[in-house]
Amino acid sequence: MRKQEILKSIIENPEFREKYWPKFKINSEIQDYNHVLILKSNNKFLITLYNLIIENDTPIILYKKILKSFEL
Amino acid sequence: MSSVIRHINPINWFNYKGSDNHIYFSSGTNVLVGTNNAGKTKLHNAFRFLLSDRVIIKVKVSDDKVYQEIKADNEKYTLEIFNESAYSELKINDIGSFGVELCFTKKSSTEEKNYIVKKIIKLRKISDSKFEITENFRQVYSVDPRTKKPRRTSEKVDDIVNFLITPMYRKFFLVEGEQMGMMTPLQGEGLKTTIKNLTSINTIDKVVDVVDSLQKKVDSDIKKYESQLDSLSEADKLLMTQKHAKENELKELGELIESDDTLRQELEDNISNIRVKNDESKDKKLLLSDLEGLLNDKKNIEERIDYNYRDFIDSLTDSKSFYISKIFDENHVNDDFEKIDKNFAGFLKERRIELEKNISEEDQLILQKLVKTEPHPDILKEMIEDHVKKCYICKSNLGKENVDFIKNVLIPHYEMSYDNDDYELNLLSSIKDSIKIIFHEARQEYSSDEHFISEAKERIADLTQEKIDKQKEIDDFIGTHGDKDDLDRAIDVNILDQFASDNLDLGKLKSELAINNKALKALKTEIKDLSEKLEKNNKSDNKLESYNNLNDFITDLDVYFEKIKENVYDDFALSLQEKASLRFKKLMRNNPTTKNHKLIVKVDKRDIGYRKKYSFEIYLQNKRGKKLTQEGGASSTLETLSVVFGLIDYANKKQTFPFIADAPISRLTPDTKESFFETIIDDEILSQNIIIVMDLWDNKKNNINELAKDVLKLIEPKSDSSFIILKPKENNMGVEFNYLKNGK
Repeated sequence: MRKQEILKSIIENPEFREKYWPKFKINSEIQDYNHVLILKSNNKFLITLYNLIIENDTPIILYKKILKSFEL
Repeated sequence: MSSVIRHINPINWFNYKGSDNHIYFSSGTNVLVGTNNAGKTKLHNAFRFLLSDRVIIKVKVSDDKVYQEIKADNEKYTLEIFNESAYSELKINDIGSFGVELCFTKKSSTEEKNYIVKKIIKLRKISDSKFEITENFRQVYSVDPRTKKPRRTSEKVDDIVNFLITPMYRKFFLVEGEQMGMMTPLQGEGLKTTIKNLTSINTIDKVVDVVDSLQKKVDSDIKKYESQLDSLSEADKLLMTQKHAKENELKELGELIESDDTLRQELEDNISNIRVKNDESKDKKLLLSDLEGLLNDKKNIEERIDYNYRDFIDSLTDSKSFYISKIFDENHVNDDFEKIDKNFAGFLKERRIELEKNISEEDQLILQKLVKTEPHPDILKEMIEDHVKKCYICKSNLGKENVDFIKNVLIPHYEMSYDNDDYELNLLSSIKDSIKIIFHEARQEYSSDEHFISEAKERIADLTQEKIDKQKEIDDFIGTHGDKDDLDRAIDVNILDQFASDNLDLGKLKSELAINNKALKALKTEIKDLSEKLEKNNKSDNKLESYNNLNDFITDLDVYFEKIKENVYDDFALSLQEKASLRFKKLMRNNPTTKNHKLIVKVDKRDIGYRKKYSFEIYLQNKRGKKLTQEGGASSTLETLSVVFGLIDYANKKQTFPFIADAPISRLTPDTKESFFETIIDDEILSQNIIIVMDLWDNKKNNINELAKDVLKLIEPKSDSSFIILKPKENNMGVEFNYLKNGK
């Protein structure tokens, strides 16, 4: 399973979708949910998820990005 | 990317003498048939040395010689590796060298590159048994595609041989037949690593690690933030203190579970490491107890024989049941009695004659002759009556002379016998009568005594036969399993004790872990409840709400990944089980006893703190679902091979490393050997095979055998296959190669 497949499986998971990104438009034909799509959603959970799975940030940078998304 | 071995050149390497021993390989299947001492295992060792600097040789441990993997530059064993004849030809202070040179092609989608790798150990001879290693030469050459000439490169040997077979796959692709059942990538942690590499678990694990570190950071930040909150009511402050205390408790419990699980893992590894030795000792212990049982049985039989003898003697000497008939057989008793009776009759007669002084000498002689018959006087009187006058014994008529003799000599003589007060005569007569009585009494008991004796004889004969049979059973047993001393020596009491105590500790630890995991779950629920209460009471605090949202999200991700991992492992196990079982069935298709056997890939899941831990086991199961732990021979060898092929099937691509196997079929039946070659050659599952075997050689005919001919037929149509015969030259002078088929 590639990183993109993991990301796709979570984004399209009905439980996550309902709880964290109900407004995000799911298109199961999309192979890879890219950076632009995620950023456009403006959803802090999706952005965190993308950073966490796809980006190869150091733990400190990743955490800073996440805190920024959650306005903490 | 893939790699294909072009040739190998063992230099002064065991029985490969000199520096030109090039063996050329095809890019497909290469079958190398070696006669005895042709250097098959030594050739396999050449590949091993090139890949890992190591060789497997027999080394002396205590009194035994056992196979061990050693470093080839270990000076203790150097002279075992260096060709003996080549070493003896070296003069003192000469420099000699031994090692391996190998050429292979590294293929990628864009290019093909040929490399030559040399690993040569140089030494200076000091004496026939002493030397000093002067150089450990290692060099990579790349072959110029145009000129075909090798050029030195600066690349490291280890990096280049990693292209040949990457370290992770070496134990799959460089195999030694006898050791296939113990292939570490298919057991314990090795198997886990193999599975992780073949599935997406590694990717998931990396994400889980990130989620883990995030979780810790968020937890710590929430704790810090909550502590700084001034607006909290007294009740909330109490809730927060409780929550933090629970969180500390949770942390400590989590750490305890982790350390207990490490202990559990160590114990399980210990148990797994000593399981084979323990099982062997246990088997020997059972065998020893069987042998002791047999020896006890024999002792019991001997005691029964003794008892029967004693009982027999007792019954003979017991006055109540003693009869003369027990000692003699009937004919003897009759004869003996008649002899004794006759003797006594003689004594009586002699005494009577002695008493009759007036009888003539002639009459005395006649009377002596009549001792035997001794007629009664009344009978004699009847015989001389007028109307009879006949001898009752000889039936002849009696003349006057006879009648007078009877009347005047015999009748008075016998009348005196029956009416005499002579002490000696009476004593003799009484003894004679007593013997007669004893004889008649004894005769009455004879038939039952005879029965008693024959029964006693039969009993002793049966018991003696039983003893002989038991002794044979004991001899057979000892012939197969060894005697008491052998079995005693083979039992390792320490291993048995350690195995039992480790299992006991493991049981305790597992139940402790189960209790702690339950407590951990309860604590988590309590903390969650406390957090929800705090959150509810402080809804107006946006920052706390954001922290909690983030925390919930990360926790949900954690749970989700755990679920994915579980699914991936389950799917993998199921798929490998199907594929490996199919392979096993195919490889064992000619063996009816394993027709319904199935390879099981078992995933064991344990809750450890927040997560699940997984372990794997692969084993063979019979049609009744029984786990076969000690299946020997073909099935244990092919079980491993089936899993290797099953893993390659799972990876769903033709394998790109050469498969180099020494004696992979030595423990198989002829039919299974054939199916092995069919799988290897026809299936094309592997890109290049180098199969080194002796099972295709007929020592009596000094030629290849029937199976070899079948294998030759199989590879005949394959242009990329070779069939090579290795034969040793005399006096350790090297090895001869004969290419029966030389493919490209």
